[in-house]
Amino acid sequence: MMDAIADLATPLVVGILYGGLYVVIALGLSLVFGVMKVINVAHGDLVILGSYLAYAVLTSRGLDPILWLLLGIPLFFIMGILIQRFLLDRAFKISADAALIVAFGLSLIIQNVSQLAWTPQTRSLITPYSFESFQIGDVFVPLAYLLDFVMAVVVVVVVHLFLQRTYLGQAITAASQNRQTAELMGINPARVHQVAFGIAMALAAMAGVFLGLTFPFNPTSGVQYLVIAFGVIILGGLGSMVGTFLGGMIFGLSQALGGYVWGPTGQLLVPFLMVLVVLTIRPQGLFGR
Amino acid sequence: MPDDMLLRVNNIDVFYESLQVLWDVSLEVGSGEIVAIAGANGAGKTTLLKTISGLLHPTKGSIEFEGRDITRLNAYQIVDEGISQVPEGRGLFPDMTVLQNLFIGSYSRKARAERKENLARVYDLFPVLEIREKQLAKTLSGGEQQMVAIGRGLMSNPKMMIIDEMSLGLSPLIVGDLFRVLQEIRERGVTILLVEQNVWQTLHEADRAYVIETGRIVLSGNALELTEEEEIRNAYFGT
Amino acid sequence: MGPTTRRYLPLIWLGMATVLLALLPMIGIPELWFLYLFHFFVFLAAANMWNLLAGYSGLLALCPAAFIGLAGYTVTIMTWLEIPFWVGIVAGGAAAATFSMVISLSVFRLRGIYFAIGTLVVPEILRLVFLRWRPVGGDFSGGGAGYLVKGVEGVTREHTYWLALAIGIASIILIGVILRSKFGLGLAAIRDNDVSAASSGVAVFRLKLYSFVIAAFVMGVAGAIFYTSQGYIEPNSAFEIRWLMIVLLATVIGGIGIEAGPFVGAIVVVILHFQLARYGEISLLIQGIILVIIMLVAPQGITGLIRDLRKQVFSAREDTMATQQI
Repeated sequence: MMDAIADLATPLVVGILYGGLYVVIALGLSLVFGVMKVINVAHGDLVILGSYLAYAVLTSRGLDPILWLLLGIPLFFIMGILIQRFLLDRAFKISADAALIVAFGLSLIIQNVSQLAWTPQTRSLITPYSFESFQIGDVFVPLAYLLDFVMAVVVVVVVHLFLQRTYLGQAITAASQNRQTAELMGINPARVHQVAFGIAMALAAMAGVFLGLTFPFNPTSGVQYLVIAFGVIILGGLGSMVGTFLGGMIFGLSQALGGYVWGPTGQLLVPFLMVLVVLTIRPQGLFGR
Repeated sequence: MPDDMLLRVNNIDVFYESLQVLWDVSLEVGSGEIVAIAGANGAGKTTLLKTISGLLHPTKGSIEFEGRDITRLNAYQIVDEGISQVPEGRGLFPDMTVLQNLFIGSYSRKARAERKENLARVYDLFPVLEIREKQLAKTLSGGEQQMVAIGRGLMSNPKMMIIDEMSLGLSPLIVGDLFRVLQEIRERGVTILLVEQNVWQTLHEADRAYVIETGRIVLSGNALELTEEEEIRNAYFGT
Repeated sequence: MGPTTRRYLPLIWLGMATVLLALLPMIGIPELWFLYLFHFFVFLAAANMWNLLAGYSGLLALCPAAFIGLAGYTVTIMTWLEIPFWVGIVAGGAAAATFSMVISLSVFRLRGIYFAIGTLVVPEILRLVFLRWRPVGGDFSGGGAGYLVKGVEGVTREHTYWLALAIGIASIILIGVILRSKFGLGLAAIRDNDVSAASSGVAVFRLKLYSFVIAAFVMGVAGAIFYTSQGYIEPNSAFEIRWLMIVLLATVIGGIGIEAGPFVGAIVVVILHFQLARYGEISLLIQGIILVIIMLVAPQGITGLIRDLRKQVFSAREDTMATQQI
C-alpha cells in the first residue's frame, strides 16, 4: 500500500510540473479567444513550429534553445501580427466559420511544411542539461519539467501584470469584455487584435522550446496540444489566470496519471476524454465569467 | 465661416445591413446645450447615435464637429475629436473594477496626461464611486453603473458627451438625480446630446429636442414648448 | 414542355446519368477511370453530408473521420465474424449513426467553436482506442494495429464501383429531398439565426440532431464501401485528418451552403488528390494553401462565383433593356 502511494508520487509531482507547459499554451489560445472570439486551431502547430525552429538552430549552430528565444520571441511576435493582419482578420470579416477554416488551413500548411523540412521523424531538443534531474523527496524529476513549471509561473505573472498595469493590456482586457464599447473609448480594435495575436505567438514560441525540451515531437503533434489547451481554457474558465494555471496543472496531472495506469496511449487518451467531459459538463469552467 | 453649432448632422441616410434605417436626418447641437432626441423603441435613435460615434457610416450626407468633417472617422478616432459616448445599457466592462473602467475612459493619449485631474472631477460629481473604486463593475446597482458610465465618459475631458438611454431600467428618482448631475456637467462646459425613450422627463430637462419616428425627424424645437404639442401629448403622454 | 416536366428535369438528367455511369464498367473503361470515379463518388457522398452539416445546419463538425473510420472498422470486423460485407456496409453506416447519437449527448451542448473542437477530439480518441484495442483476431502479421478486410476476394472492382455510385447518387437525392422538405426549411431558418428560429417554433436541437445522424450514416456507408474496396484498415489513416480535409476542401471549393457545391468541389478534389499523389507530402500542403486562398478570395466557392457572375450578367441585361425602352 505504501509502495503504491509512493509510486503514485512520481506521476503526481511530474504531472503538476509539466502541466506548466499546458498553462503557457493555453494562455496564448485564451488571449486570442478572449479578444477575437476565435479559436486559433493552428495554435498547437505554431507551438510545434517553435519547437522545430529551435531544433533547426540547435542542430545547425548549436545554439541553446532557451537562448534562441531571445530571437524567437520577437520573431514570433511579428509573425503573429502579420498572420492576424493579413489572414485571420480578412477571414473574420467574411464570417466566424471562415476564420476557423482559414486557421485550419494554416494548421495543415504548417504541419506539412514541418514535415517537408524535417521529415515525419520524431525529434527532441537535446541539450547538455537535458539529462539532468534532481530530487524532490523520493521522486526524481527531470530538469526540464521543473523549468516548465517555473516558466509557467513567470509567464502568468508577466502577462497578468501586463494586462492589469499597462494601457495596452487594459485595452486588450476591455476589448475582450465588450468590444464595441472598447472602440468607443478610443481603442483601435485592429491594433488590439494584432497585439493580442502577437503575444499569443510569442507565448507559442516559448511553449515550443520548453515542449521540445520536455517531450519528443513530430509534425502532427500540434493537434493534441491544441485539444488539451482548449480543455485547459474551458476547465479553468475564460479570462481567469488562476483558472488557466490550475487547469494546466490538472491536465498535466491527468496525463501523468493516465500514462501511469495505461501506458503511452493513456497519456493522451485520458486528457482527451477529460476534454470531452469538461466540455460537456462545465462550459463556463471553474473560475470563468 | 464661424459657426457656433458644435455638432451638425446634415441630411444623412443610414443603412444597417442593406436595410435603410435613417432618412434625410439633420440636427444640430450648440455649445453648452442639452439636446434630446426622443422617440419610441426602434425609431432609429440608437442608429443615429452610432452613426455620430463612427460605429456606422452614412451613405449620404455629412457630420461636422467644431466645423470639422467627421463623417468618415472610425469610432476609435472620435474620442480624440472631443466626443465621448455613454452607450446604451451602460456598456461597462463587467469584470473590471470601477477604477479600471474609469481609467479606460482616458485611454486616448490626450486624456492620459490629465487622468488624475479628471478622476478627481468625476469623484467630485459621484462620491459613491470613490467608495466603490475597487469593486467589479458588474456588482454595482443599476444607478451606480450608470454613474460609472457617465463618469467614464467624462474621463476623456470631452467637449460633447452623447448619452444613450440613460434612464433605461432605472427608477424615476435615480433618473432625476442623474439629470441633476447632467445639468452640473453642462455648467462645467460639456455639451450634452441625449437619446431617450422616457420622453416626459427628458423634455423637462433638455433645452431643445428632436422627435424621431421611423427613421425621420418629425418635430424639433424648444423642449418645453414641445410638451405642449398636440402630437407629442397624444403619442407619448396618452392625453 | 409542361411545367411538371420542367420541374422534374433535373431528376431525369440524374436518372439518365446514373444509368449511363452504371453501364460504364460493361463497356470496358480504363483502369484509371474506375479509380477516379470510385473516389469521386465516395468523396461526393461525404462532402454532400458535410455540406448538410456545415453549410445548412450550422454544425462545423470536424469529425467526419470518426464516422468514416468507425464504419470502416465495423465492416472489417464483421467480415472477420464471417458476416457478408454488404451487411457490414449497412452495419457500418448504422454504427456511425449510433455513434453520432452518443457523442451528440456531449458535443451538442456546445456551440460554435466549442462544438468544432469537441468534434475535433473525437476522431483522435477513436484513433487512440483502435491503436490499442483488437476487437477480433490476433495481431496483425506485422505487429501493427491494422486489419485486413476478409472474405472480399470475390468482390470485384465493378462491385465496389457500383456501390460507390449508389451512395454517391443517393447522397445527391437525399440532399435534394431534405432541402425541399419542411426539414430543409427549418434548417434554412437555423442557419440564418439560431435564436430567432427557436423562438419561431423550430425544433432547433432536434433538426440539428437529425442532420448529424443522417450525415453520420451516409458518411459511414461511404467509408465502409471505401474500406471494403481498399481491403485493409489501420487506425492512423482511418481516423486521419485527411478525411476532414477532403470534405472541407470539396465543400469550400464548390461552395458551402449551395446544393451543387459539393458536386463541383468533389470533382476538383479528386483531380487534385490524384494529380498531387505523386508529390507526397506537398499534396496536403498545396491543399492547405488552396483552402486558405479560396476561403479568403472566393468564400462562396465556384458555384457561388458562377451564381454571382450570372446575377451581374442579368442585371447588366436589364439595364440595357431599360435604357432601350427609354
